[in-house]
Amino acid sequence: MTDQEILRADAHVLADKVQKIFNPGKKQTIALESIDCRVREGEFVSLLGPSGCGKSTLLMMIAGLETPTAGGVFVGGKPMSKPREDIGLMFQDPTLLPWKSSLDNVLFPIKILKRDRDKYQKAAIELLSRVGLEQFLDKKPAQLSGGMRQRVAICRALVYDPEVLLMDEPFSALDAITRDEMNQVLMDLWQDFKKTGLFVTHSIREAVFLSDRVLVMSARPGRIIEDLKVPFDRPRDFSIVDSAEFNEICGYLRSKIDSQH
Amino acid sequence: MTSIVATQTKSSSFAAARDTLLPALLFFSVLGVWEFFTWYTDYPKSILPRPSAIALAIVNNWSLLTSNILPTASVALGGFVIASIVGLGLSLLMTYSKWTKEALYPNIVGFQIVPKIAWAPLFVLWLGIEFQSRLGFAVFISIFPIIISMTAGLKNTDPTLIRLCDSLTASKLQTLFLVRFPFALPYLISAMKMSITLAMIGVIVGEFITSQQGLGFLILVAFGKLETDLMLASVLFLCFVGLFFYSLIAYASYRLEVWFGNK
Repeated sequence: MTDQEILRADAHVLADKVQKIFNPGKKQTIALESIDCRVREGEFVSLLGPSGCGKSTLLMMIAGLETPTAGGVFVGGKPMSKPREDIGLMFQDPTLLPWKSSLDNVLFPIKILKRDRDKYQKAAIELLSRVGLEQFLDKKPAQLSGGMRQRVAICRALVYDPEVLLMDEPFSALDAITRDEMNQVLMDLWQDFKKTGLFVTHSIREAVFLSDRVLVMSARPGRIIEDLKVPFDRPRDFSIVDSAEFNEICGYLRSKIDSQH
Repeated sequence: MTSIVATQTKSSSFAAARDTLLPALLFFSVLGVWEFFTWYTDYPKSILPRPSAIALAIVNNWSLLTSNILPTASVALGGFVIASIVGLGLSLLMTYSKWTKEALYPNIVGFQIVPKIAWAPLFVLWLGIEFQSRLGFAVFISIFPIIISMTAGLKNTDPTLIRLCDSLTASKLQTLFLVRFPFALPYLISAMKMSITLAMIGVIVGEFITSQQGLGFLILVAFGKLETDLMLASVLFLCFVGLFFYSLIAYASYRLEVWFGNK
C-alpha cells in the first residue's frame, strides 16, 4: 500500500488538500484553501464555522454535487466525481414534496432509486414512528410543523440506508426549543443507525452535543483551525448541556472562533 | 340554547346560498331592467332587442344556431390542443437547453407584446380561406401564455429539491416527471384556461374575415340583415361554448393533479 492508500483506508470520508475557487480569474473567490478532513467509519463529526466559511461547499463536494478545484474527495476509498447512493444528504430546508404525504415523501428516494416500494414501506413507517410521527403518515407537509417536517426529512435520508449521512445545517431554520428537541431525536436515531456522519453547523452547543469530533473552520478562505475530540459517552442526554465540562468545551471552541476576528 | 344553535345554522346555510343567489339575483335584475326599459321606451329592436326577443330568436333559429356550433368549437379546440402540445414542448426545450432559451425566450416575450389580432388577415393570405387559416391563427394567438407560464413554472421548481434529486442520482427524466412537472402544473393549468379563451377569440376573428360557417360567421350574417336578436343569440351560444371548454379544462386539470398526486 502506498501512503495515500493507507490514508484512504483509515477514513470513511476523506478530503485531501481540497481547494475550491469560484470564478477562477481576476474576480475569483477562494472559498476553501487546502482542507484536510477525515471521518472514520461510524464517527459523527461536526464542521463548525462562521457563515460563508465554505463549510457547506465542502459538504457539497463530499456529496459529489460540486467538484474541487484542486485536491481530492474520497468516500469509502473511492474518489467522488458524481453523487452516489451510499451517501445521504439533508438540507437546511426539509425540501419535501408539498403534494405528497409524509410516508410518500420518506419513500421518495426509493422511487428515484427504483427499489421495491413494498420492501421499504415497513421501514419507512417504523422510521416515522421512531421520530414520533406515527399519527402523521398521511399528512401533507403543509399540515406539519417545522420540526415535524425536518423529522420527515431525516427519515427520508435514512430510509434507503446510505452509509454516510451529510447534514447541511439541518436545524438552523428551527426555533430554539424545537432545535434542542431535534438534537435529541438525531442523537437517539444515531444510536440505532450507526452511520458515518458529517454535520455542518454554526451552533457550538449543537456541534458539541452531537459529535465525536468538532472541526472548527476559519472565515473565508476556509481552513481547519481546530480538531477537538468530545469526551462524552453515548448515548447522550440533552441534560449534559448544563454540565460544567460541556460549557467549558463550548467556551474553548468559542475562543477559537473569536480568535479569527 | 336551541334557538341560538338554530339561528347559527340558518345564517351559515344562508351564507352558502348567498354565493349562488347573489350573482343570479344581479343577473336577472339586469335582464328585468333591460326588458322593462326596452318595452317602456319602445326602443328600436334592431339596436337593442328585448331579452325575451332574444329568447324567441333562439327558439326560431335553433337548428341554424346549433349547426354552427361545431365549426367554431372544433377549430378552437383543435387550435388549443396544438398550442398546448407545441407550447409545452418548446418550454421543455428551453428548460433543458440553455442555448435555445437564450435565443428564443426574449423573442417570444417581445413578440407577446405585439397585438396579435393584427396578423389575422395574413393568416388568410398564407393558409387560405378554409379552416386551416383559422386553426393556424388560433394556435398562434393561444400559444404564448402556454410557453411563458410553463417556462416560468418549470424554472420555479425549488432548486434545493433539484439538488436533492441530483444527490439521489435521479435521471433528468425522473426529476422532470417527479418534481419539475408537478411543480409547474398550477402554472400550466392557469395558462390553459387563458389559452382556450384566446383560441376562441382567434377562431371568431378568423370567421369575421372569411368563413361560410360558424358562430362568428352567423354574427356577421345577422349583422348584415340587422337581425340584432340573432346576433345576440349567437353571442350567447359562444358564451356557452366558452363555458363548456372552461369546465372541460377545469376537470382535465383536476384529473392531471390527481394523476401527479397533487390532490
